[in-house]
Amino acid sequence: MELEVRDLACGYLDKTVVSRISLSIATGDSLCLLGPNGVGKTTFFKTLLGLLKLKAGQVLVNGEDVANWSRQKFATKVGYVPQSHIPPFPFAVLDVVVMGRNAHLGTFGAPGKEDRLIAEAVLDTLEIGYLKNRVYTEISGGERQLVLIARALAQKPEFLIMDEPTASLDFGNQIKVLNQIDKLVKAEKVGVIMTTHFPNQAFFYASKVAIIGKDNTFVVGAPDEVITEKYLQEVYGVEVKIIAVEGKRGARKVCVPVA
Amino acid sequence: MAQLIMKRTVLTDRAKLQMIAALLVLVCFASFFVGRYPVEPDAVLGIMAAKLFWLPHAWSGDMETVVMTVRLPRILAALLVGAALSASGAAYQGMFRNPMVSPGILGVSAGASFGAALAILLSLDFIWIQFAAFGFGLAAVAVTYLASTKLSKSRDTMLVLILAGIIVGTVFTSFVSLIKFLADPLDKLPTITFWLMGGLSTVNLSDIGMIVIPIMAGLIVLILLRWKLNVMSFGDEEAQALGVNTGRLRCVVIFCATLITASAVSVSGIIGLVGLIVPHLTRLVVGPNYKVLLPASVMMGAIFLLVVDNFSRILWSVEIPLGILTSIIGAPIFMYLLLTSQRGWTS
Repeated sequence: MELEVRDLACGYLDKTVVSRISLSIATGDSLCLLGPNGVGKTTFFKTLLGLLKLKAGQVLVNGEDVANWSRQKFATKVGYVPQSHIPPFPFAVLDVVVMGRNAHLGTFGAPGKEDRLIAEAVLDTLEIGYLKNRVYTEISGGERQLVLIARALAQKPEFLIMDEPTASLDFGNQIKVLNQIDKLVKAEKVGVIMTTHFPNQAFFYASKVAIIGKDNTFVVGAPDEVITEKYLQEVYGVEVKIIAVEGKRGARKVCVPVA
Repeated sequence: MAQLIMKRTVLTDRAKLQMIAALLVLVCFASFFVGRYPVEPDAVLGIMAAKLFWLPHAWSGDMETVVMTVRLPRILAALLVGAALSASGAAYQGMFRNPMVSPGILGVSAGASFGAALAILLSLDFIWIQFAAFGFGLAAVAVTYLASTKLSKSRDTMLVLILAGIIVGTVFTSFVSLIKFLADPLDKLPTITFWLMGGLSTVNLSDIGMIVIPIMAGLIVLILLRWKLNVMSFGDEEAQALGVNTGRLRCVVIFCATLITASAVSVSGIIGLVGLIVPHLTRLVVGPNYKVLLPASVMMGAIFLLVVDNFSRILWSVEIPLGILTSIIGAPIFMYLLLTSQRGWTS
């Protein structure tokens, strides 16, 4: 199973924001997308998901161009985890997760018992089964983020696109959410593309890293190759040192600002 | 254990719907013997049953007239109009992700009443009153929606939508005033004015025959699509990523909600606040899941309007127009809801 982006250009109306993006991931891969604010990471995601018209290039799932796919068919292959926001109505958590089943229901369909069981199983996978009868608008930000991941998983997609899944989470919740994502990639063989602002997260969790820099520069490769002191300085304009730290799973690279 | 809890919540939803349905039947039945002319409950049952079977007539001809030609059309009209306004309010709220909207606030009612007033002014048939009400109702909601999407560069789409609706409503209301200004003060003006106050006192069975098909058709489509409204309330992008064709769904839902509102307005005039309050009250009882909320709102709307209409018939010797009464009763209820139900109202 492979999700491939070929020479994609994205933007709004007559303005191209990013172009010449090519990358691919297989199921069981995780790709971290880095880049400073405003370079067009969100625009790229929206285009990848088909929410914006692509300016050029192709998106392929398992070698097939998705341009003519229905939203429903695309949703069975690729799930989206947005940054969490508060919906206008106080839905129960289980009702929110069950919404992920939409891709597998007909136009007039509503989820049945089987869909609820799938939703519950997904909540258990993410170890948040205890939330199912809670009110979505009343749980914490970290819990909401996990519920949105659960909703995307209930879709049973092969790939997940995550927009800054750790934004606005406290330190502990960041690690918990990332560990769950890591588990999904390794145990459930989901392919993940996520944006982050922390190179360290890419070192810890990603098998591939892509960086969109200013002036539309784009690189993709293994974390060690792409995230270098020189390149971070170039892209973010700050001086950093990359050092190795002993962790439970061997040495880990971290980058530390030095100036 | 987990299974057990889930079963219980599913059951309680069903039980709640059954209780609301039972209440609806009870209120319907009771409404037949509410009124100035006394009719006994057993006579009501007899008159009803006699339409289906041959029965000895143990009631007067006057009673039969009161039940079948005065009260029955009125009860049917209250059920249909209440259900229509409440269901469209609930649908608009999900579609626009905004618990504060209703046919009234989006300008649909004002647009529809302009259409209907125009048709009355031009002495057109009832079918044209309906068409005009629907056409201008749809135009109003389209203008409101397009204006709000163009204006909401800032994030506060909820407020912009409401303000756009108020402006569109105001424009159509002033068009209605213009029509009143132009209308013949001896003939058309009183008809339009009285009709605008909102009421069911002049409804007859043929009026109901005209609205029952569009209202039932719209309600059935909304009920079939109801679960998708949950997904829509998370916003277009998320709904699309979940596999919903949002453009098509939005068109169908707005079309149906506007059709049933305009059909209701064409017989009842403006009946305020039902579409705003009843879905809220219903949400307090059954929760926000549209799978249960929409059918419950349909029934609660019917119950609410029937009860208020019964009061309008019996409270004073002169009948108070229903639209005035729903606003007087609805406003404090709405204030109370604003003050107490903070859940899910933020952002």
